[in-house]
Amino acid sequence: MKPAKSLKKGWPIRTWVQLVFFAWIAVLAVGKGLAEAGVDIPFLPEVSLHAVCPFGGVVTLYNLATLGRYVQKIHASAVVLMALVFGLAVLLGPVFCGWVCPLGSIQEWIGKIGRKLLGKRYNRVLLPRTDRVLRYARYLVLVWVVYVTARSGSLIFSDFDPYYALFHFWTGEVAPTALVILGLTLAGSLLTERPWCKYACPYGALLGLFNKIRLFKVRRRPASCINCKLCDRACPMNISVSTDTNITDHQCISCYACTSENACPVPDTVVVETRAVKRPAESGQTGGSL
Amino acid sequence: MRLRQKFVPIVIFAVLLGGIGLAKLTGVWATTTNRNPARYNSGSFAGQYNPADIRGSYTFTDVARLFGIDEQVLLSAFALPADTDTSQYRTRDLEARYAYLDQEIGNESVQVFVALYKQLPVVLDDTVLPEQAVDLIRGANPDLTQEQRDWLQAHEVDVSSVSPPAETVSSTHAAGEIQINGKTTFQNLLDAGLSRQQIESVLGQAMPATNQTVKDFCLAENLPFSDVKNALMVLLSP
Repeated sequence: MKPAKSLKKGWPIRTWVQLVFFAWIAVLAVGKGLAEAGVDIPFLPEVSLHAVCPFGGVVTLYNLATLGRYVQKIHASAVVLMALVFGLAVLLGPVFCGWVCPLGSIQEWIGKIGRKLLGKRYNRVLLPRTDRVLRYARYLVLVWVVYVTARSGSLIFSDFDPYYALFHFWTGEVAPTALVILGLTLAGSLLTERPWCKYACPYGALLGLFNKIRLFKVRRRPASCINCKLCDRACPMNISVSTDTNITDHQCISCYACTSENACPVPDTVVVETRAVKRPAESGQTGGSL
Repeated sequence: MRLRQKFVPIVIFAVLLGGIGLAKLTGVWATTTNRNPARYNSGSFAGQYNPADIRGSYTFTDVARLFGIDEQVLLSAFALPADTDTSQYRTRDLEARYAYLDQEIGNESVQVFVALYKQLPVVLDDTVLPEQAVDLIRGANPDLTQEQRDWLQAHEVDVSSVSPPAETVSSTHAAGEIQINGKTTFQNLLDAGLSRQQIESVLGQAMPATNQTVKDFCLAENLPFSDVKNALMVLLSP
């Protein structure tokens, strides 16, 4: 079967959504900094980034349950956002990672430079086995962050958080460790897609689990698949889409890059839908060839 | 059911904006700390705000609103210029303003002033007040007890006797040094090098969960926070 369409040109809608959220968070951060310096900007709410970070809602849950208080710097808004992002994840998986998170977005944008510099070697710098093992490191980070926050009642992770460092690096409030981690993350983005998301992000680790239960999953239809593996190459998280039918990999960020609306050249072959696709052995169908 | 890419932003914005809007409508949404202190839970003042829970982050406007005190009275009590922006001036800012004094005037001074000015229950400790604050308390409350009069006399400070070296002072501290304030948790104390036994010797009872703040514990157990803080600072000093 021949490819039915060529790849689309121009910025995809996801990039626009990422830009909106990146700009919104940047404006909030600058607005807060100016307000603290005594410069009031009309119509700009004075909101700290901690107040609009859904991961803050996760780490404060223990304190909320045991003491009825939020962890320092965390407010009710973070818990509300946590619940909303969980709701989105139940529906669509970690769309927060793929469409909203500004740290994920900037890694992706820097990655475009890396892709130009390294060509096909980009996003393939680690040995597959090493890479596969390291992907679980973010669960260790998640357990550590939740534990130290529960034990101390303090937002200790902010001293290591590259997201906080990204939007506060000019304030002098950022711990050197967070700046170093931000620098390594951005530099690493020149070698591989979203290094922080893949190997260290505790929130991504948690949201990734929703890939197992999400209602709308990425599905590949073997009957019309031509095994071109463009879906594999398009996936920023190196998921092997071409060898599975229902993608439940914990690293999927719901970016739609692999789907027939983007990389896949055959219509209606890689889609996001609720209905499960039967495996070839179950349906008697096999994938076609190029 | 299939979900095309172009509908994903609609779902994202609908869930996030709709959820935030709903949270605002129901009063759940809050992006700042709730600026309402704890209330007395027993006695004839039960239900009223307890000045001992005024936090260093409260502005003078917050204090005035919560305890029904005129903002100008607060400014006069702490010898601040009448044109001070009370909506921006936090009670902890007093520490920097009066850093040149031997004794500390700060959030705890505001707590004691509010309690005595409004005749609310308070544990009188070694906190000091500017003499302007003492005069205002005496003027507003001719029925002060003898104990309160003696305490006021012993704890008033002439804030104009020493000229400040500068309007602000550096608030930085040596690496590893801990400043105990309303946000300090017991884990912070352990991390700073105190042992559980040392902390319990100050508290006079078992240490609670490590994620609890010292101040919340003191309020719950009716312990004077400033005394506990000072005793802990002595243990922490090299």
